[in-house]
Amino acid sequence: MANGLVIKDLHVNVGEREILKGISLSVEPGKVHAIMGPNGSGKSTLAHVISGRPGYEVTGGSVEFNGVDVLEMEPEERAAAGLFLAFQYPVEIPGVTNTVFLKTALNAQRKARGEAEMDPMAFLKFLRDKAKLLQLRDEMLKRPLNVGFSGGEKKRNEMLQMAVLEPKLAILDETDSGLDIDALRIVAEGVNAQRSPERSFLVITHYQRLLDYIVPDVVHVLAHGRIVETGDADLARRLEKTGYADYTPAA
Amino acid sequence: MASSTETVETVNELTGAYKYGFVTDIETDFSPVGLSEETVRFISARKNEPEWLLDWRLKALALWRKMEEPRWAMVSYPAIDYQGLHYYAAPKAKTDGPKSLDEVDPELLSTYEKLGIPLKEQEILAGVVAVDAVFDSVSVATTYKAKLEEKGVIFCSFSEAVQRVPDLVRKYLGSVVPQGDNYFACLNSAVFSDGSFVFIPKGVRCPMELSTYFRINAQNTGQFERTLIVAEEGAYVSYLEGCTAPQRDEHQLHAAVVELVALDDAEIKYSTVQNWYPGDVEGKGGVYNFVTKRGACRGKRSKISWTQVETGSAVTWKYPSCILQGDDSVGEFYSVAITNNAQQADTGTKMIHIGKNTRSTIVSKGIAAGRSDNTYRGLVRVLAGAEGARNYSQCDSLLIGDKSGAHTVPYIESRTPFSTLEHEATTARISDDQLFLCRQRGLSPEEAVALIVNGFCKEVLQNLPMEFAVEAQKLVGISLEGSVG
Amino acid sequence: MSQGEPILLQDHAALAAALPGARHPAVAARRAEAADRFRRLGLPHARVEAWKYTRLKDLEALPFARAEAVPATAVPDIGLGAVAARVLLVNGRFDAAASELPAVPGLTVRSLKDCLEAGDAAVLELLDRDVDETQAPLAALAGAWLEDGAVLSVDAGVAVDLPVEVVCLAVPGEGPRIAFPRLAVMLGEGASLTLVERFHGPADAVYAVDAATDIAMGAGAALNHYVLQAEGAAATHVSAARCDVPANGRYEGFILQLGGHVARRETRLRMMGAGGDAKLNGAYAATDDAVCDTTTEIRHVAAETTTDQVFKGILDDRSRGVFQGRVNVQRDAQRIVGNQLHNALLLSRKAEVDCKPELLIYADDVKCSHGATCGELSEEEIFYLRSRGIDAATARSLLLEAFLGAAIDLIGNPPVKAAFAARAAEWLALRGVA
Ligand SMILES: Nc1ncnc2c1ncn2[C@@H]1O[C@H](COP(=O)(O)OP(=O)(O)O)[C@@H](O)[C@H]1O
Ligand SMILES: [Mg+2]
Repeated sequence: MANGLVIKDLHVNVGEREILKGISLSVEPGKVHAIMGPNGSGKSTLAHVISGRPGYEVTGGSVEFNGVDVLEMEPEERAAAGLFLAFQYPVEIPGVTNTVFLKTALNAQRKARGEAEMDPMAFLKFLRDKAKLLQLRDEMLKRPLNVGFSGGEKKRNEMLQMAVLEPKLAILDETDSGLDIDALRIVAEGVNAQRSPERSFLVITHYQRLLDYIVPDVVHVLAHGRIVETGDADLARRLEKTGYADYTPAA
Repeated sequence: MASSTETVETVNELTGAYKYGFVTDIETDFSPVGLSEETVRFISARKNEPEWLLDWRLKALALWRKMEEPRWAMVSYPAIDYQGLHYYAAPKAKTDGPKSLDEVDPELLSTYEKLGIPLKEQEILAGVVAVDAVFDSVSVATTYKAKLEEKGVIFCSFSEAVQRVPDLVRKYLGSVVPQGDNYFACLNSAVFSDGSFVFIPKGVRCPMELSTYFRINAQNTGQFERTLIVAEEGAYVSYLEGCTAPQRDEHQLHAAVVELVALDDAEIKYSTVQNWYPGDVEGKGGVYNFVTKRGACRGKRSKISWTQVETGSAVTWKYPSCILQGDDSVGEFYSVAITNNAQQADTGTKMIHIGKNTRSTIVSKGIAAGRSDNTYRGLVRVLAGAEGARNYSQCDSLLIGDKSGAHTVPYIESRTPFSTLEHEATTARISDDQLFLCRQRGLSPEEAVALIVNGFCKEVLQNLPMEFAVEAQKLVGISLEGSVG
Repeated sequence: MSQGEPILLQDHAALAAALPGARHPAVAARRAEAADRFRRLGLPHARVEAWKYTRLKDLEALPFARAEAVPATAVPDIGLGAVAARVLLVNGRFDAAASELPAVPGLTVRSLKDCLEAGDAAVLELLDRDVDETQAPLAALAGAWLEDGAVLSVDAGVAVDLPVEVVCLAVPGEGPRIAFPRLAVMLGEGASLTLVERFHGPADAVYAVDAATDIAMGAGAALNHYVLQAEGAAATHVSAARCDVPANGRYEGFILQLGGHVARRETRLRMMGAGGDAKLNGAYAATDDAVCDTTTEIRHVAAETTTDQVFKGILDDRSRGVFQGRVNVQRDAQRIVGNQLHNALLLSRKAEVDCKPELLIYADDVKCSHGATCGELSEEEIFYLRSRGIDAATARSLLLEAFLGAAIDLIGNPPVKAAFAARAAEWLALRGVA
């Protein structure tokens, strides 16, 4: 059942506090959905829960990906199933080079899917090609993962990981924040190059800016743990002018 | 008394055959249980040793009897019954005794094969490594001897060296680690059975990596090998040591001594991957690894570099050290020590700066998981004459789980203003974010831990020769199995 | 057996009967037990790991006797300015006449002697807290001769604005004398206090000080605890402070050691409650054949506690510096931050430094680090200053002052910072080091 991501009435707590208060959302294959909303509205929480980050309690609702309940799956199983999260705050791992990290991850996923591991030489070429697309220097592939990278480099590095792992659904959590206009364009081109009828995107952003480059099919506004409005790309443009002030907390 | 005299005589008869490698048909594979003058004489006789060596051993035994087992390390283990052990065990020869490595122990070989070590003869013939394998107490095979001898390199078992080059042995034995140095070294000096001997003559760069595999196999047996490496002026050698032991419920004692001597401009690189049996999850069984390793940089501009990856043993007590006597000499210590389950490790180094402008570097990475305790203990001492001495020490600990302990105990003693000593230590854990990132990218928790820990250890692992580095990386993963839930 | 010990404990039972509060079984038993402990331990020797680097050679060699009760001599002023109280302990004994004790709301200053006579339970309890006894033979000796000192209390919620000074003054007698000044500090919940402890004595007399400070803090209390050790050059000084830092408690300590023939200051902090924070910094300088030892032990007992330590030392002539710093994080004490730094400068070929920083960690969610360096003044820095027209001697003195200054700058109380900086500069100038 290739019906993409289907979230129904999702409730999520952190500790005692309810952060997501009933989210419903469907992202069909090939579609780009954007989620916008003020800070603290729960956007990252949603991304984390979909990808299985520990520390959140799902108190109700469901998340299915191509007909399979992902909430029952381990994070690495979700990854192998094609879910990818570009982190809002990319993580550093000292001593583990970008190349080693990506090779290990890719092969782990291929193994989990019953595919053969990639030949090391072929992988290197594959990796370099992808890096070139994102205008990442070869030298950065040899550096430890994100250690000493600038903010923009880290975000581009997340895009490199996406390009290499070729997920079915990529969740981009504020990949645009901290990027200057050139970096933004590079990232957007990277994403657009990956758009295909099989691949869908959930682009989380605070600003409309990114959506000038990655034109979404659907835009949702998330405020105070609820989706308060859904529309097309125009909605994003409207928000740019009005801001989020209209979306006051529900009573 | 009579029967043991008889044994000694029998052995004396048989030792004529020893220089060919192996005794053909020995009725007794073990020395009599327990430690006495008789045991020492038995071992010495079995090896047809010269009088001076027997005396040397007996002196060590006398010293040992007056010593107390050290208790300052952060390890605890039940009292060892030194009288309940065998101090010598030779493998029962299958046919005519192993002539090639293929005959050593298929299980051992397959273990190494699994770990990716090129131990098989054809790979050795490819010219990467020369191997000496010490099985229990006896060196069973030294490959690739001829090619080395062309260069004047002597690489053989210790026993063979005693027969072939007694003067060299006599000159250097105990010159770095004297008999009475410490309890375990002293015990070793009395009962050491075999080990490796390496001599690199003046100006020779040893054409290949030399390698020894140690294996404890027999039950209730202590292993006391002794390794001596001498690099003459301008010589270079890289020496690798690997260790395994089978799984046994009772503890096995390993008290080795390694002595290195580097003369002017010589360099010795000594790498160890220690994977003795660590005991089971509950701490039952496992090897007590009480090892004294010390190198003397006697010559000017000489260099000794220790790299160790310690993943095995129930208890490790080990401080590979450098005595930097020669001006401008260099000592290095790169260590990864991983403890899991009930393992305990108290390991580190001593850098004794004596000569001028001597330099030392210490990089220690300790990883503690399970209920284990992992201690770095290191001494940097700069004596008054060591002007211009420099040391840089970096000790990082990583804790996995909240039942383990990671400790850093550096001793820094400086007796001269014209030295620069820097020590840094950190303790941290694998962050939840790192773990989640790896899992989000498709790695299982165990793969994630192995990857992150390998990254943490990278500075050390990259000092290992290529073949060993691969093995070590895999070991890191294997030894941390079960450490994350 | 050294000569000192029997003299120190000669006729203890008989003499102790005449000490304050001897009629209270709790007090008497305490002294007797401490005397037993000291007899068993003796003076610290090299096999005691905590005393590996410091021997009390004068105490071992010379016939020390308990210091007599004598009147105060002149008290050196360190220019702190106005204080809330200045307590004078002469040879360990509370000298009310020579002290300045104005009435300050919420602050009580008593003599320990009075408290012992009265059998004050709270004070006794504070003195009784456990010490790792094998490591602390001098605490046992001081316990055996527990006699007098000062007891400071600050009521809950009271902030005493001006510093309280406790001056331990040694006044020598006929032969080598040892005094046992004792200080107990009790801060109520939310109370705050700045305490300056200082030690002075004659420059040339052989004497010893075995001092202890016990501090109890209520939740949320804050203590600035500054110590100046300016004993005479022939003195043996051993002093130990113990403080349990409670939940949300704040401890800021600074130890400036500039005196003594053999001097050792120990500080033991236990971080007992979440939100507790301690900063423990210090500077020291030694010359001639002095030994200057700074030993700290921080135990993170509770989760979410933070500590930070910075120590700097200068060693000249044949002097020896010792720094031992142990940070211990107990099981389950998660989310801990514990940092430590020690830098030593050796100015002479004969000077030595021994440094033993230790991290003992049993919890996994911790950020602990230590750094240690020893070396000489940077030639490069001296050259840089000279190239700007500053002569070599001035350049050295600037750099040395700056070196100690980097630690002294961490003192939070401005008058104390200025006073300590001046004291350090004076030391450098006087010794011709700078
Ligand atoms: N681990 C956590 N512990 C406590 N509160 C959290 C945690 N994660 C998120 N929250 C809270 O949940 C709300 C939503 O956070 P988040 O999903 O990061 O918002 P956004 O990404 O939209 O800015 C915020 O109020 C935040 O403080
Ligand atoms: Mg967010």
